Amino acid sequence: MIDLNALFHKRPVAIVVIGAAVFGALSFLIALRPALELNAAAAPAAANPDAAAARGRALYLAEGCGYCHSQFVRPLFIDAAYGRPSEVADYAAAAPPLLGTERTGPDLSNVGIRQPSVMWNLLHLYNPRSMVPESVMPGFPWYFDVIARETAPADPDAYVLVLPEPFLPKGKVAVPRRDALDLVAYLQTLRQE
Amino acid sequence: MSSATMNTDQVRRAPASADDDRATAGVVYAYTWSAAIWLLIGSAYGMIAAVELVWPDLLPYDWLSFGRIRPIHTASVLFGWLSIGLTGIAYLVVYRTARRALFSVALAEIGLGLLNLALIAGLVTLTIGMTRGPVEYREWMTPIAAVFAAGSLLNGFNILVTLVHRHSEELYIADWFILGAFTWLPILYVIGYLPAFDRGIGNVVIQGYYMHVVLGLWFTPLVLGVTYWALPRMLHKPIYSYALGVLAFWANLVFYPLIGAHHFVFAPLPWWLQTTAIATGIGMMIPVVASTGNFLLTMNGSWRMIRREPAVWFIAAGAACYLAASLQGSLQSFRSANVFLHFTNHTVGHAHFAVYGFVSFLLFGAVYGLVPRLTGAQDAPLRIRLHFWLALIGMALYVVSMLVAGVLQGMNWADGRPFIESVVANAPWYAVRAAGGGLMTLGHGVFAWNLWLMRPQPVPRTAWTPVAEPAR
Repeated sequence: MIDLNALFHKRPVAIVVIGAAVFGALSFLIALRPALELNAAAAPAAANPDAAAARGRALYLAEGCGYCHSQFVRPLFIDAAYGRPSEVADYAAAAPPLLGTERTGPDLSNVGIRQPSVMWNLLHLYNPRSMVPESVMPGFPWYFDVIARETAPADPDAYVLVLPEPFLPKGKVAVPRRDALDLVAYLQTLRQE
Repeated sequence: MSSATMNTDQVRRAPASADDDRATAGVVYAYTWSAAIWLLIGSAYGMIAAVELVWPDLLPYDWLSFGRIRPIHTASVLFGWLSIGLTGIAYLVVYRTARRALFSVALAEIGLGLLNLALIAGLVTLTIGMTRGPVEYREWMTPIAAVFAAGSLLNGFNILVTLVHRHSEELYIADWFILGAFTWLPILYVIGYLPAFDRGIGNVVIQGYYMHVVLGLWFTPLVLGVTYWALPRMLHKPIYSYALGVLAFWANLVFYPLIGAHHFVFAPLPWWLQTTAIATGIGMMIPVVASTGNFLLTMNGSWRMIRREPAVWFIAAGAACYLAASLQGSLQSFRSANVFLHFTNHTVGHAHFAVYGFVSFLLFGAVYGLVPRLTGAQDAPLRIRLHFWLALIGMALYVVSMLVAGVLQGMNWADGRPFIESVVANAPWYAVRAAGGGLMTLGHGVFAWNLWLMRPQPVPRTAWTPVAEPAR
């Protein structure tokens, strides 16, 4: 019979080895095995073919949007406004999946349906207060070029933003860069219904 | 007998000398300063984030926007302040309990260099938007995390070898916790960064596991180990119950790894996984009560002395927060509460309650209690009191405001009102939170000032005299 008392009180290596073994076994049971099984069971959906939306998702990650916006609808009455409850398949191709832990802002699982207007999204991205006065979301002005109104492109696809002061200086407009359009393109793909 | 064994035997026979004291004081003090600087950096980022939620248009720069700086704040305070600070004090505890020189002071310095390198690289890359996504506490790109894990492995190896060749007869319970922490962190890092789980719902399983285990099997055992040594030292008496410490060690190891999925209750994860997480959250009360009770019962009978020792106030408050934050967190994970409180600022309040009220307070206490004894410097009770009250009031404002804000959000959502109403309801509480954070940050300035006054002295004011090992 091993003298457990002497073992742990006198042998630091025993604490390391037994500690690692117990932790490793529990980690396997509670994390590694379920994770492997779930990933194996869910066939990844077809990867998003839209290159702009894929770039937009990368920007969504880089800007840390997921810290304040969940993409995780629970099967609860409290979440009913955000579309149907999330399923394993919704996340199968997502790297990483963006369930999130906070709703400082609203859930975005079906924002593509809730806010289909590209122009609304761009104005909101440039400065959220221009669309929702009480919003505390950061603006993303570095995704836009602020130029004189006369020099703005006439093409409607350029989505030239016209806003009053204080959002834009008098006589100036904001023209979205490609990043802004990509980010909105990504948001438009979020359609969980 | 081989020469290697000879050397080992010589090492075993050599107790710590005055030179060892100086060398250890130097490296422990370097760790503590690194930690303090990361605390100041992390506080600055935290303050900016808090202020941005009050005045969102104040700082319209990409490198200061909320989403970019949130992971910098958490990485700076978790892996900079707490990890580096606790590692430094752990070295000190191991040095004292082993009663011999550290196996290698140089290795400890290299470890510190690697940890700092990872943190600086992490700060730069997160600033420019290089991230693995909003996967909490593992946002760093993999090579940066590898550098951090390597630094921790080196430190763990250094500590293990020191303890294997210790001069004392038996290990002390503090060493158990410290050895455990340094064993579990590298394993956790490997699992957290496995590329196999970069995608799919499996990533969510790993995420819940990682974000809670990093608290439960790294910060918690490390800070408990430090406190199991620091508190008896500061009160000049043995720990109330050695056996309760052993119970806490094993119960923590068995329950804590299992509770991660409570971050994703009602997610499309297996029901058993969520239920296990919630149930073991109740099990966590065993190690929590064991250690909190142990600390408070050790303090019992010494209250008159404690009144004059503000360093111990930090430990008393930290122990109380350990109990309260753990209880609050376990209740929050119940499905009936989670329906309303998940996704709310309640979680933010809980996180700061635990990481600041529990872990940081105990670390502050250990630094104030142990570092002057090592460096021979005068401590400054008045300024320690100032720091204590700034930290306590600031933390209380922070935690209470966020817990209240969370309840308001949950009520708004349950009523089915437009989302923006929950934002409006939170506005005053965001302001209170920023004020609380401001007091905490001021306190950190006082802490840095105190730390400077506790710098190693050329001639120690009082020589270190070995005391009897705390009784079992």
